[in-house]
Amino acid sequence: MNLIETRDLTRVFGKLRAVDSATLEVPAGTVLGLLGPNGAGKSTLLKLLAGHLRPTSGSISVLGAPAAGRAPELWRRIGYVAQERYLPGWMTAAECLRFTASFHQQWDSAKVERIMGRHDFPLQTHVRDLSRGHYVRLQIALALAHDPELILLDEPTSGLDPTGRHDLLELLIEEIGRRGCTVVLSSHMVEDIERMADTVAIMEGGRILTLGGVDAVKGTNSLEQTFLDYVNRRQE
Amino acid sequence: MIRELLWKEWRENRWKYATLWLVFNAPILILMLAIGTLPGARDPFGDLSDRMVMKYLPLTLGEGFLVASLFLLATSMVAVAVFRPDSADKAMFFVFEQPVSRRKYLTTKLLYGACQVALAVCFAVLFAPAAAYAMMLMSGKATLAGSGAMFGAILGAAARCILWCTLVSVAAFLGAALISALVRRWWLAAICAIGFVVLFGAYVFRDNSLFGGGEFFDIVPTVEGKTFSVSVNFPTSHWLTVSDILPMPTGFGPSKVVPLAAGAALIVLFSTGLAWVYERKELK
Repeated sequence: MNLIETRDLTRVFGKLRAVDSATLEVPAGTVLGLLGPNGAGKSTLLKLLAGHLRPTSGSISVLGAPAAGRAPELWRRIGYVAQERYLPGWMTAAECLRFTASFHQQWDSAKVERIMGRHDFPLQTHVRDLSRGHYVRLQIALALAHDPELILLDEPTSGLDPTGRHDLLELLIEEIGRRGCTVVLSSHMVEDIERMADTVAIMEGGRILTLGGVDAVKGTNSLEQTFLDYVNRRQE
Repeated sequence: MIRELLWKEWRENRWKYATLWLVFNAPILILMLAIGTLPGARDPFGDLSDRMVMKYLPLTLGEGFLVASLFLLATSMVAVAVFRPDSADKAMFFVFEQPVSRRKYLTTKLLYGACQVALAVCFAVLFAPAAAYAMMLMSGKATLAGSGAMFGAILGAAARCILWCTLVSVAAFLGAALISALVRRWWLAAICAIGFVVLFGAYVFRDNSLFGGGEFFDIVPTVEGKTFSVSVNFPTSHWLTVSDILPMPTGFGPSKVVPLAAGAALIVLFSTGLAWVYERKELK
């Protein structure tokens, strides 16, 4: 069963085709990595899947509904980590968690503690004052605590130091391994995708250049070399 | 769910609405402070007999006029401050990622804001005459028996003007909110909101078929053949001069349906506009 299906999905901003005729099928339990350089359209595709953007043309189905954002009940089954910072800066981290928890019948406090780190997380600090590392941990906790079936992660490791990045990936891998949920992860870090994804889509200029299992896509090359080959060929 | 949304509104905007309450009540609070601390400020009220009460107390009805005119600027700025983070900081998407409809979120936000504005208007318009009369009674020369009826009539006129002032203030609040939802830069939204309120206020108080020059409520009761004037001359000892004792208001003018309907229609129009904008907001 496919949790996500898109057909010729296109989103245009002015003259820019941010996502251009993207056709995707993501079966349940898959970890799909969206790999592409900056401006490839990864974030736009994720926002379209989350329902934060409306498609200019094409069709989109997430968890059987036309678009997540249009059906609020779907947010019980989706966790989304955005690249931008838009959690309300005036809330403390603890208030942010309490506010979100109040909307969900299912809320795993133990998981939240595990993600936030038991002792060192400044729960009483305003969100606007959190470091990038703490902010991302909070985002991940908010996105995962209600045990969603589908997790959308937009460059979750960008801006993190190597230790923070390593810890975060470990955490995500553990969560995916435990629950077998479906994940769409965007990144321009090849090693992140290689470590987490079982399926990869290479994007450039809004188009999906290739889509398939990681081993099938990279063939005998490394994933990084394959990625560079696709992008260079496209840019030529 | 609604409780959490209400909590968010209260926690996020409590100081903004508190500022509105403070601004609305500033004239009477400043007057009370001045009279309490500056002997010179008390000169015009030297002999606070019942006759003087009847001369000065109707001036507190001017609070309603201020709320529906000059203070519309404060109302609109609070609306910009309340609605700006939703659009400019994209904070609305945090709520949109919860299993709650955009319409329910906006309705809660609008109702909370409109209630705050309405309550602030009610309180300010009634508090001004009540506080002034309490001060006059405390002087010991005015008596409840001598001027109580006048106070009751003034309070009745104030209560009647609340309806009009609330409609105008809530309409200005929602109009400014709609502007801040449409314009992402806060300073541009603030300038547009000021422009809107100035034009809106000017239209309300101009002689026109919709609002009838804002004469729905009688801010200052008048009697034909009687002239009445108020002059303020700082910093002389007689800084406040009232030329005549106001006639005691004994009845109210006929209720005008059109201005009330026009105010209500504007509120519905601006709310619908906001719902339309929120429904179409995208995280770009």
